[in-house]
Amino acid sequence: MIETNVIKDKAAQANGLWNRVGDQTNPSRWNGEKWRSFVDHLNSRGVIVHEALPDVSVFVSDAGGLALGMPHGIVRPFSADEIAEVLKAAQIYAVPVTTRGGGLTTEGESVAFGGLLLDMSSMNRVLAVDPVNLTVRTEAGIYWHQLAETLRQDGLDYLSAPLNLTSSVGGTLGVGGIDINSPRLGCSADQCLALKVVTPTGEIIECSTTENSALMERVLLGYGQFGVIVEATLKIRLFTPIIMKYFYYSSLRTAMEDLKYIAHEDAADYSGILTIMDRAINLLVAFDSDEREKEFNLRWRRHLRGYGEASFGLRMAGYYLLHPWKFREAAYLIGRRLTLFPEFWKPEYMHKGKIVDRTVVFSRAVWKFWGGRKMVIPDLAASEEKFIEAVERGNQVCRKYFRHYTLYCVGIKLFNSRERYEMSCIPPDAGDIAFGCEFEPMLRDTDYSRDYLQSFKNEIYDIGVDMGLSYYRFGGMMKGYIRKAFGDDLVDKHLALKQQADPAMILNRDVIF
Amino acid sequence: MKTDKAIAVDVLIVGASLAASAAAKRLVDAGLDVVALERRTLPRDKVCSGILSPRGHRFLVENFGPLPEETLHNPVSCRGVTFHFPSMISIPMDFDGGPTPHLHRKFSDYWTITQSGVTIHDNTTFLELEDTGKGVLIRARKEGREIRYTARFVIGADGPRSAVTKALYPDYQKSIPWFMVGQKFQKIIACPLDSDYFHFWFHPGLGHYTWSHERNAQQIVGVGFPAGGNLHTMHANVEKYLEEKHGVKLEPAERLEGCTHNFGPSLINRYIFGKGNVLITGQAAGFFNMLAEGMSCALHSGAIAGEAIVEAMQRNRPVQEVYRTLIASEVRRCTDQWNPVKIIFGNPHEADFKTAFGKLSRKEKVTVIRDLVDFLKIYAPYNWGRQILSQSCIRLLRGEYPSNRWL
Amino acid sequence: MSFTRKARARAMQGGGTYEEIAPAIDSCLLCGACETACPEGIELAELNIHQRQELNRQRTTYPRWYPADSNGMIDSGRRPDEQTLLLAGGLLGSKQALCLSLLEQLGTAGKTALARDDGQDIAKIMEAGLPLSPERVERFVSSLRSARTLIVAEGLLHRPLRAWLPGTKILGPGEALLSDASLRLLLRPEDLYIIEGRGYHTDHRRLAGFYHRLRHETGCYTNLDLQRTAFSTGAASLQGRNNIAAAGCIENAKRILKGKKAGRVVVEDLADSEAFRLATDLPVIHIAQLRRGKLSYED
Repeated sequence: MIETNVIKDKAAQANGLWNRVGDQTNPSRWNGEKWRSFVDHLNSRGVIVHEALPDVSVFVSDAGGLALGMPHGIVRPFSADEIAEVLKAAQIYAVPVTTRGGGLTTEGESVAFGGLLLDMSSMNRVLAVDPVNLTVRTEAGIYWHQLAETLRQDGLDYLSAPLNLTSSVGGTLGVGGIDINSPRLGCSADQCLALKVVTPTGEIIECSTTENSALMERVLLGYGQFGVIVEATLKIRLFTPIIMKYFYYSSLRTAMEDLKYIAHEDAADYSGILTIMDRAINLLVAFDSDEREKEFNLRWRRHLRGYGEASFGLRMAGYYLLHPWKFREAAYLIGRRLTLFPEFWKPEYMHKGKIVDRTVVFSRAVWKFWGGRKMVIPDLAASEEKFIEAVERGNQVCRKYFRHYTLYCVGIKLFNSRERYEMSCIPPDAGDIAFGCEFEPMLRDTDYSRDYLQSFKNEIYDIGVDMGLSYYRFGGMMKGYIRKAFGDDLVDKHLALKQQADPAMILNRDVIF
Repeated sequence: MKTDKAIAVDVLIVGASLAASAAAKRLVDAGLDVVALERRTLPRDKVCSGILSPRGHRFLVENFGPLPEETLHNPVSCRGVTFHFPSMISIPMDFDGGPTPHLHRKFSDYWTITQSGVTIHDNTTFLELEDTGKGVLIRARKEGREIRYTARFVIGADGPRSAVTKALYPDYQKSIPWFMVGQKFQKIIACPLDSDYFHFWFHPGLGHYTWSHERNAQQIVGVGFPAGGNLHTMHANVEKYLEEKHGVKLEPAERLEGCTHNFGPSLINRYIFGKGNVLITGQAAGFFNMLAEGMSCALHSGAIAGEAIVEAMQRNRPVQEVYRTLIASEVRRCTDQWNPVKIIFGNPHEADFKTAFGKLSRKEKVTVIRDLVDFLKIYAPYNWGRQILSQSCIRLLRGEYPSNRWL
Repeated sequence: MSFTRKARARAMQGGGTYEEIAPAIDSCLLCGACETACPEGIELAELNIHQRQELNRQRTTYPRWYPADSNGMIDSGRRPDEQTLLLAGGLLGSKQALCLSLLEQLGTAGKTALARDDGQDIAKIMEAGLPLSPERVERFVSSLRSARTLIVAEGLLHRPLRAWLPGTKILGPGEALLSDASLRLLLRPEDLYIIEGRGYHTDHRRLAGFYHRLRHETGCYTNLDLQRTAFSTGAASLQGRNNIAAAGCIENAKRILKGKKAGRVVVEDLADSEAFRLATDLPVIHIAQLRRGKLSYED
């Protein structure tokens, strides 16, 4: 009697009822129609579908821990052919297919609300390392830390990966991937030279910047809409330890101005801001070589307005002496300083004052100090001009909702106007460089209901809509925001492409469309 | 009565309204086997203004998708609320975030419960339950036959006169004040009241809760008062007042609806959340927004009840502990609406009263405050004032409302 | 079936039974590497043993690698007065010459003695998740009470011994021997030094530093990955002892060797030497043989 998902009433649309609220962000469970025939079909083709409760329960949520959903079954593929079989059959039986690498999404993008889940972590072999041309060919289900482990055996390292290394290569290329060297190198997806992709209709296609480049541009930063990444060729580099320096600020704005300055001047190989609320703001810079550090010290250091640790500590002590009622906040800052900093200077990861394994140090610290059962990390990506205002507004929202939180800001270099940037995490109005900021409450201290956290996220995302920004990890929540953020014309253009590539709309269907 | 074998489920939800739908959504998404019991045949009618708050609107869309046409009355939306005072000052206020839907509860509730994916057992009346510690045994009746269920958890989302609450705490419902709310539907001859708004009267001479709004070319005039009063007398009084003071002319009533409400627990932080493996949620738990909008807090508290069960199972924690921790944010939001500190220094409501109030002249402001105080006096017999003040103080000092007042 | 720790937890949360996830529980070689990766610092190896106990309560047939008798060696429990005791454990215990050599190298003024009761049967029972007799544990523990330091070859016993004997120092033979600088000099840059994982991971924070210094001092390779987690062959596990190939230990040894230009393999745990001998032609020695390189562990 009730036809769902249809707004027939034009009056309702006209009077503004639908303007402000988003779209459905917690998808309805797929009803399982033709599931059995689909499984029988796959079994007859030698594809094993695991359906037992213990097998599917493993994937009930993602790293965010808020979105819940159960696949009807999972496939752990070992070849592109197997994935092609799955997708061909899915087109026939209209069964939704969700791809999952490390499952490190926070908005349920890698959660299957019914249907089939492709657990790509089974495809984790490094296929070839070319130490001369500095490239690696790898299966895309591999986690970055496994890749780092393999590359290091030859004294090599990847160029850019998310700080959290249990994300998969395929998943990262699909969303962008931001590292603290992104102000110089762009996002992780921009380090990719070639891909092997299984399209939503089950074709296996090799693509690169020269061969099938249109597909390549669709798949990179394509949020899994235009194909499953099976293999990737990435640029790599020789491994070097890094030299890290910290500058401390008590003003968010000053720190952000200096971050922009560093990015503009290309003054450091790595840069980013990490804060404890908006009280202690840490601008970190790092260098791959002594020469770069020397140059930084000579040319740029004096322009930065941050303090060294000791003088910042004294200033903070002064501040809290004058504001004794904020003793709890002071205690939190001190506690954080005492537990967190040693993690970055652990002797076993240091050699002659340099951090030997930044990948490991950061990744471990990220889990230990910012991880948790639930993770809520809404973010905003802005052009240079809008960045500071966006962060300041987001910071106000954090203050309103949480006692303890962290902001993490970083620049992202753009390479002209690549097609892949359209309707992605890259803000449409960004010039040579964009900036992103994550807003992350420290949920360790308290249990919040999912709906409280959702209201928080909505308020951050609303800033994005209001200011015409994008979202730098950009995923499931986009389904609710995408039209407001990018406008109907652009979204409809991409939707048409999607419908053409995926007639039954089966692949990662609840992520953006 | 004949008894068949018990039906085993993970969670049994008693009720099939918005709170039940929200809870079901969370549980079904997590892969649990859930049944919702409904006394009547679905879709069923429900006495309700249907005016949803912006937060509730957002929740519906985020969790159940765009609203289908059938779930709405005409006018399809409501822009905000207009407050009327005996001094004839009227203050219109728009909802934060734009108009909200005017829900046709019969179909909106049916749509949400269907969208949740839960298995519905309607025509089934909950009778009693027994919590064994490891699970709950439930007896219910369908068309004269007894049905038994076994569930790991039960959620009571069956409204103010909750049968689940009664099964857990037989004396509770006798211990709280009850309000009778009745509304009549009348064809409009002339109505100068703006049909885009929900109208509310702070008038001690009319009733404890007096409202009017348009629906499907009829005007609804409603009044609330302590249970035991006479609806027809009270209603006639309001109708006369509206005609005299606002020029509202209506044809004789075509239909009458009425029900009783447990208005009060949310004001004084006296919620009731159940015990053992049985959770109480929605209006049964005492959630009620200012202006008696219960839908948005039903949705949110229902979702939290569902979430609590999922978390309790995943973390192997006692479900009451998890529920009471997670529900704190909803308690804060709901009770803050009555908290004078929050009203003066914050913005706990979803329409900006303070800005609208600020636009009045100084003389008008004084008049409105005097009218408000006069109105609040009719609630004096319930002794809520001191409790609200003490709860507000604790909220100020500790940042939240004490959970030891919850049942 | 996904075998990771997290996957098992999720499967159980989703209503899976111990029997349903038995393949995952049984496949664990209890190397403890997952513990160092856990940001919450949960003692996951302990949890695995707990799951094995729960599983055993439900099942009637056991995997082939399960210990045949649960009441192996029982010793008289004579109390030695020495301050340092060597619990030779498992394979090391059966190689007498190697044991004596180790003891000799450890002994400072004859203060180190070989514990008659090395608790190997207890380790086996614990590992299998079978019920442990409290009397047996008490007898074992009381035989060790007088010692200040225990050098325990069986890594699985490190954690329980720390709990049973708070205040007693528990070391692995690797750390105990290599605390002697002259011995460290014998490690060469082309050596691949294999850290015994089970003990190492229970005291990771401290030992990561110890082996970091060792690596920089000697230049040798180790089986540590970038996370400073010891990649174990698993040869010391019940499964490995039952069938070293089937348990994947040789594969693991090959993976450890991959990409390293090693000339010799030095193992802390004798069980590992067998896995490496089957995986490579390189010479494989036990740390106790470092000083007297000619001694073979065969004797």
